[in-house]
Amino acid sequence: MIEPFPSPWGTEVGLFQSLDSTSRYLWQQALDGAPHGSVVVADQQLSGRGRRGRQWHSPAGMNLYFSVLLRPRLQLDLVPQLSLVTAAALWKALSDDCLGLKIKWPNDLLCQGRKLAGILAEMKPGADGAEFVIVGVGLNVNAKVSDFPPELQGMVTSLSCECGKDFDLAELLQKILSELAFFEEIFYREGLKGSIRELINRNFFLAEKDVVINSGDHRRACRAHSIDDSGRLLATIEDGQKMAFASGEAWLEKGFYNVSGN
Amino acid sequence: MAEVTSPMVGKIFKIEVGVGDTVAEGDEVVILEAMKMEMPVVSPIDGTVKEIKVAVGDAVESDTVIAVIE
Repeated sequence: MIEPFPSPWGTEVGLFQSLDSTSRYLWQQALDGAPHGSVVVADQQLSGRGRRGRQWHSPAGMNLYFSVLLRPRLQLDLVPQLSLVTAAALWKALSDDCLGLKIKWPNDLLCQGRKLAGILAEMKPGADGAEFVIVGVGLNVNAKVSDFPPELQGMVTSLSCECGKDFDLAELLQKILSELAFFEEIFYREGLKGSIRELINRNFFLAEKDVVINSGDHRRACRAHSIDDSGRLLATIEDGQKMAFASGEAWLEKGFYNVSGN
Repeated sequence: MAEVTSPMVGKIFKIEVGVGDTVAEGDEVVILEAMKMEMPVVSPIDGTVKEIKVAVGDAVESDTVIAVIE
């Protein structure tokens, strides 16, 4: 178990042995008035969630599962960009140890093409902007290949698998939270358009790859390029037209772009 | 009667109620995904769902009417 420590926002980090989901717990705390920068960490999640209702495998004692409550003073349309801000902060905190770490739009960190961390951001809209945002992070830290379910092996990885050593969970969490607080400040000052966008595009997993983007009920084969100042994915579709995707998910489909384009 | 409207541009990824369902103020009607963030859109009043005007996967603009509650 991690020992209690103060967060960079001046709040006490809430530590739990087991929760259904750190984000679900913190959502309730936020409704009850918990302050900006509240952090909840669980040793184990019984119903860890990924984006679009998917499950996040959350076994006890080996990984980090945490959520941060933010009450950003931002225009509503800028708030979703906090997912990418979190991805940039995670990259900064982990990239010294994990070479080849990449950010995959919209919300994953990959190492050697395997999923290392996932981010799930949820917002409660308010009368003027967002009332609050819960940013949930699942990071595979000390899990070994055999700790993952067979169907995930080969698609996921951990820091330990990549670096050949185990990590102190408390130290790592403190480092990540410090970076998140730092990047949050940068974002409030300059948005994505400066150093955050630059960091993401320099370490962008999808750059110049042929992908399929599932955006609502549409699937499009395209070549991904980078993200723009609003966090949208810039891509070229089969007929050469440039498009910017604001939502959806992208996956690699080797050859799909060329086949469809002919 | 009250309309449930989209707070911002996004896509509908989950519909939580059906026509005829009873809802309370604050109950989730749909989950909207805007860029990389999920957000519940809630009923502004107690009532019954009279109409749902969107389907899963629909793109919606800000202030698009999602459902009608009476």
